[in-house]
Amino acid sequence: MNRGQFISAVEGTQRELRRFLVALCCGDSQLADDIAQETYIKAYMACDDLSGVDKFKAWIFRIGYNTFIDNRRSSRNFNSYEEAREIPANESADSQFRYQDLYDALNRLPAKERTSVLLYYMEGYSIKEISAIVEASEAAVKQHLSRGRNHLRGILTIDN
Amino acid sequence: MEDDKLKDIFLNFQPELSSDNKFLDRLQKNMEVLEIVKRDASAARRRNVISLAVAALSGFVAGVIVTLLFPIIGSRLSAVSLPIPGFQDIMLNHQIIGWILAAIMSTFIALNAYELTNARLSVSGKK
Repeated sequence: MNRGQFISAVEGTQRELRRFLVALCCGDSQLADDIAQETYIKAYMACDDLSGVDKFKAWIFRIGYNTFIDNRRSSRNFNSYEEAREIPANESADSQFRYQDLYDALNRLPAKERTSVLLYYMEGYSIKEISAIVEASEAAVKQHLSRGRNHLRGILTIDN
Repeated sequence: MEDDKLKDIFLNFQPELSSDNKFLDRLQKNMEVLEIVKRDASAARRRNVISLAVAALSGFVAGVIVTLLFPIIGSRLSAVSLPIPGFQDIMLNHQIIGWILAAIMSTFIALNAYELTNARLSVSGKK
């Protein structure tokens, strides 16, 4: 894949990837963009290994998910979600308040359940495709999806 | 909550993202930096290969010259006498000492050839 093809592939996938990462990062769009940048750079370094441009989207989502997991391991953690919520929001975050309940709900899910739910409902991937992206068995993905769905239903219903 | 409602929630999820152009510009800049680093790494690898080849050749030539001159070196070494206790006993093995000195000299020449070639190629690469 040459640079021109790579840029075209980026232009075709960047909005979806960033949307997915914003949900995965529970509303932190700045972090999501940083992870997206790192994802595309890693992909650019490894794009010679990609066999077909048609597989680019699933491949980039896999790199994005792994980059998100790496970032979680190395980043500073708040002691509690409540602490994070007390940080004053900047002006651009005000528009994100309409999804605050969703972000709260997603934040309560473990990362694997959150990822499976987002890839299934937001991106429309099948169980088989999700298992390739998160590099887990189909049985594990079904379990994460089922648990994530039940948790989410419970949280959103209770909050409503 | 029905499964369809969950699907609707996520299908209607359209968070505000930063400008696409800004994102792509930032990515292009990062890619350019990456390409510069890759070019420099590739040039450094090429310089190393050439420097190693010159060092190996220099070491080999130095070794051949010392080997050809060894009879002369050996006879000069055996004629050396110093007022150090045990020196004469050591000099009985003058051939081994000669080979050790030859190896040290060849290694020294090879290392210097490597450093000089690498430095010269670095400078010419920057011009």
